[in-house]
Amino acid sequence: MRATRRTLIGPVCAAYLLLVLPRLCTAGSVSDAPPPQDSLRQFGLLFDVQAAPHYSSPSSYADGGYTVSLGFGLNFSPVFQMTIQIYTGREMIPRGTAKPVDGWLPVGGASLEGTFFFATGTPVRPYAAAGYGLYTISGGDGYNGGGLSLEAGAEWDFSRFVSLRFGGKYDVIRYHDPTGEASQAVGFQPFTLRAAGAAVRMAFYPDLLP
Amino acid sequence: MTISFPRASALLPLLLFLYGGEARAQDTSDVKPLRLTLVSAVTLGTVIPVHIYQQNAWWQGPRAPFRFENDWAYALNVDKLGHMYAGFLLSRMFRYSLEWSGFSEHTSTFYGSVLGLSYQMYVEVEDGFHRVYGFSPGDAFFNMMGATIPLAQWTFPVLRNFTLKYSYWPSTGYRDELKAGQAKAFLDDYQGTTVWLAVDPHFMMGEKVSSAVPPWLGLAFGVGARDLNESGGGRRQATLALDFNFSRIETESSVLHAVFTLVDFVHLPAPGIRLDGNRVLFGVFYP
Repeated sequence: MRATRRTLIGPVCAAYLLLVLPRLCTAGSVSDAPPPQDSLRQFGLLFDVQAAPHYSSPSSYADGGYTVSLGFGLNFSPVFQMTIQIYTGREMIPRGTAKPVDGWLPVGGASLEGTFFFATGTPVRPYAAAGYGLYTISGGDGYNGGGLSLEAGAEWDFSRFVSLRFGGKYDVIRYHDPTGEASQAVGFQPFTLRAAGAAVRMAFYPDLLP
Repeated sequence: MTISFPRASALLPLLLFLYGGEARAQDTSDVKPLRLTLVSAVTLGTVIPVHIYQQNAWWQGPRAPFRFENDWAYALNVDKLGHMYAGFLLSRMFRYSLEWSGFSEHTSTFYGSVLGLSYQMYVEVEDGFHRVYGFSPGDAFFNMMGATIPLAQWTFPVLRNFTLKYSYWPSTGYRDELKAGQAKAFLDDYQGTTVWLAVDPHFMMGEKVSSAVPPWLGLAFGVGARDLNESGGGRRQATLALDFNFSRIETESSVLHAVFTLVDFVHLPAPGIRLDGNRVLFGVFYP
């Protein structure tokens, strides 16, 4: 029962962030926000810093964790941008699982992410993002993975150069044992990590293109 | 002889690829093709030998599938500062080269950072295929921070009063490895390295005080690590010292100005106060 509840928390939180938060953000109370800076959201460079705590499904061997990422990329138009994200963080691998190591293990990775905005000319813009990345959970020889991340929420342009984003995130990452040593030692098989969580991102649009 | 930027950019396809069509019309660059060719040749002539050097010094041995490796604790974080310095240095060097080739300051700053970051990330990706190193997200973070410092300085001019500097003296351990023929790249000798944040304090002083302090005199805060061992232990060093900003010396000679600019990437021996583990030391410190 407890496992069922835990399994449900992630998707429910993600659904809330996906469906409810964007509506709340666009429902009003943003009249004091600065006017939209469409000219700065056209073609241009952007940098971002992102924090994303997440909850992982117990069936995927992990309890949860967090990632912090730095990213850089380009705004191709007011409705589309692409970034490269470099991740670091920790993943909690509970004791007693099939993994030969447990505890808070370091996670690292990088991904290519594209974001679509569903509104232009407004201070708060709902968005949906998708990315594909390569990741590693350290410990032993490390476990390599690759997978998809989906994200949705709203981005608030609160100054000329800076915007803040809140969203819900869902990752599906397939890990494997690169050397085969861990698999042989403990009968460990490749596994899929499913993680749901929130993402907070601060982006800088420095208008630096020459 | 000079030609317009769009024609000259054909000499460097990478720049042409990266350059936005709309922005081109606003550019004030007046590119000198001979210089740009020279810069491109020197860049390639440097990158290829450095790649071979790194191949021998770092990337020897069997390659492995690409993987990431978190190494935040390595060398008590001094390597991360080293990555930031390297990103900053490369971006600046590319910027100066492009500026000398006739690109505007803005264009040079932008592409200097792009090229500096690209090179740093290429090294990191190569590490990702190494059996031991792996792609370090921490290193990549600091590469990005270093490479984008010139962009930040362009956007916020007050940041031009700050710069990163480097000092190095081979550690005993590294010298022993050299004698034994086992030494790798000196860049990995973090026990002999100090990375400095240098500030030209004149912008904070009133006019009266500012005029009394020589324009080339500044302050620097340096961080290093000594007695590093395999288990992650070691001793941190923090130093506050006087610093010399040679590029603040006015000169009509462009050669001298270039020399001053290059020397300013290094922190020279200067009096200061050092916190070394639990000890406080006064003296002239290098590195």
